[in-house]
Amino acid sequence: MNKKARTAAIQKNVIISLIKIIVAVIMFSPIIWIISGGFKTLTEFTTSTNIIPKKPTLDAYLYIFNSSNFFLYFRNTVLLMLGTGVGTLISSSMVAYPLARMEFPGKNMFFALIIGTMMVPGIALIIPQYIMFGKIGWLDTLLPMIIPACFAYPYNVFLFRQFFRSIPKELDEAAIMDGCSHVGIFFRVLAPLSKPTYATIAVLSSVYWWNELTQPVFYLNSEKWRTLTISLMTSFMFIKGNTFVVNWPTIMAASTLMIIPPMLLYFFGSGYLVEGIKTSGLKG
Amino acid sequence: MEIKRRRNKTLVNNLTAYGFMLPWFIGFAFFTVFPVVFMFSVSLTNRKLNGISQYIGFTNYKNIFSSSTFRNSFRVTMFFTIIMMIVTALWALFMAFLLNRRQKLNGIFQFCYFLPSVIPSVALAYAFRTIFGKDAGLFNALLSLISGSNVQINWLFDKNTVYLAVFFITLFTYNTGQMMLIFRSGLNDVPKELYEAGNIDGASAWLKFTKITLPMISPIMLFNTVMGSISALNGSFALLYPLTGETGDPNKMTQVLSLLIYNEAFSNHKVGYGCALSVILFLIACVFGIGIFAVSKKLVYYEN
Repeated sequence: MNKKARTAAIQKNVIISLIKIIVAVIMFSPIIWIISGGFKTLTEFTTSTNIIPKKPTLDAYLYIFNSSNFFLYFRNTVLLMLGTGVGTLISSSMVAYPLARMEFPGKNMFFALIIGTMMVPGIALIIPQYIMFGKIGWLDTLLPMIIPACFAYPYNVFLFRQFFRSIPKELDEAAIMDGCSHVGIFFRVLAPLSKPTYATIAVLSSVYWWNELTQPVFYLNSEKWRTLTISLMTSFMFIKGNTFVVNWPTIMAASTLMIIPPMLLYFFGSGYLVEGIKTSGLKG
Repeated sequence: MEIKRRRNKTLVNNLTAYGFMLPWFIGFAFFTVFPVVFMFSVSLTNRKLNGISQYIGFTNYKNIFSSSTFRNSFRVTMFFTIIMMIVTALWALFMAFLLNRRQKLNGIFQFCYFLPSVIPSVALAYAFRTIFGKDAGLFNALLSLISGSNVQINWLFDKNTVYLAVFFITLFTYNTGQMMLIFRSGLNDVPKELYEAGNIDGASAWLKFTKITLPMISPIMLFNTVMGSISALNGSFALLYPLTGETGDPNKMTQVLSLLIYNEAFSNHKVGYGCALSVILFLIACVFGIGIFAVSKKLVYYEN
């Protein structure tokens, strides 16, 4: 490579690096804004745009930890994540097994139906479900979200099926030779081999339910089962005793606390997260 | 004797398969089929939030189709879904391109690009309500700094700027992050030889992009943008409800169907009417779904 071409290549690299940095600043700016807002006073928040607060204060955090039901909302959110996560992992992997590994009448039709229901937006069915869950007295609890998760989510069934199909079929055939039944193959061969798959779907499901706003907005009403996403719109929204002044620093501080788990998840499980998301979108 | 044994074996096999699938059968019946049928039957009543209801035939549908609020909402839904898909797909492709140039600190860049998409939409919405705010908003401050004059735009409440602001915010949603990761691996799968051949022929970067990259990743792009439109239909509620409220401010300009359903059923207590709107949203999703099947059939053909 001659000297001229080399300087051109370096120039190009510098320009691309610059663009990369600008995009990074744009993408990360809301997160910086949220974190910085949590350390401001209400007056500073509503009058200035400083990123580094002039007089940093911990008031918002002290309020959240000492005078609000933050830990209750946190517990509810964790219960929601655990309930839906365990429920969908067990049921969806079971349903995916025959679709990936067995031959039986109606297989293609059932699979088409599962893909079909994947396309139905949940929001379209939420009003009839609201009435339904109201009739059996489940409103204002976590049950309308946890119980359906225990009966297989089409999306997770689809993901499990894709992953199961990538495991060599010779393993099942060997197990059948040894007199193993399908139940045995699932529990003793496929499930243990698929631990990374379970971890991937657990990570995706946790992120989803940690962030979920729509269903809690419809199903939850009172303080008792309120989740963190709802608390941002209710408990942390206004300053005490005045429902006209929005308490931005508290909202930002609570948001900061809600950003930490996904951030940690990215640091420690980015492999699972990234792989799972890629598989979810690559092929039909 | 042999036939009978084989028949028994098939029977056991089939029963085992259906046994495994039992959770889905139950879930499908109770949480999909029943709600769909129930939704349709409630849509023929004037059911109120307190449960009092009376059969009124297709009156709800008649009212919907003559309502300007619905027509507006339908337009907004279509506009929002389609533009959001285009904007987020292009931005995701752009970021995937940047990340696929192997340079130092790529891990940190991916972290910065991706993290906004896995934080709660409500936190994002509140951050942007203040970033795009009139008085102490970051965006106005930046514009003032650049232009040297005092910019005071109320981005989310001004009918000239609200779409600009909302579509900018969609760049930070899960859709974008998801597509960015998918496009990254799609771009990696484009055979390197094609680019080398292009280099030998002296093709420009733009020519290589339009003649090699785009055709190679178009199946993935097509599938994901259409798939994403369904999640836009579904996910717009979680972003717009905390951002512009159930009435879709300003002047219903952001009131997508899901917000209208919530507004009618819970604020106006018209559950029957809300169900009729849900039926329509359901049908729109079906049309999108059929579109996806058509598209993916075409993709299979491409691969062969």
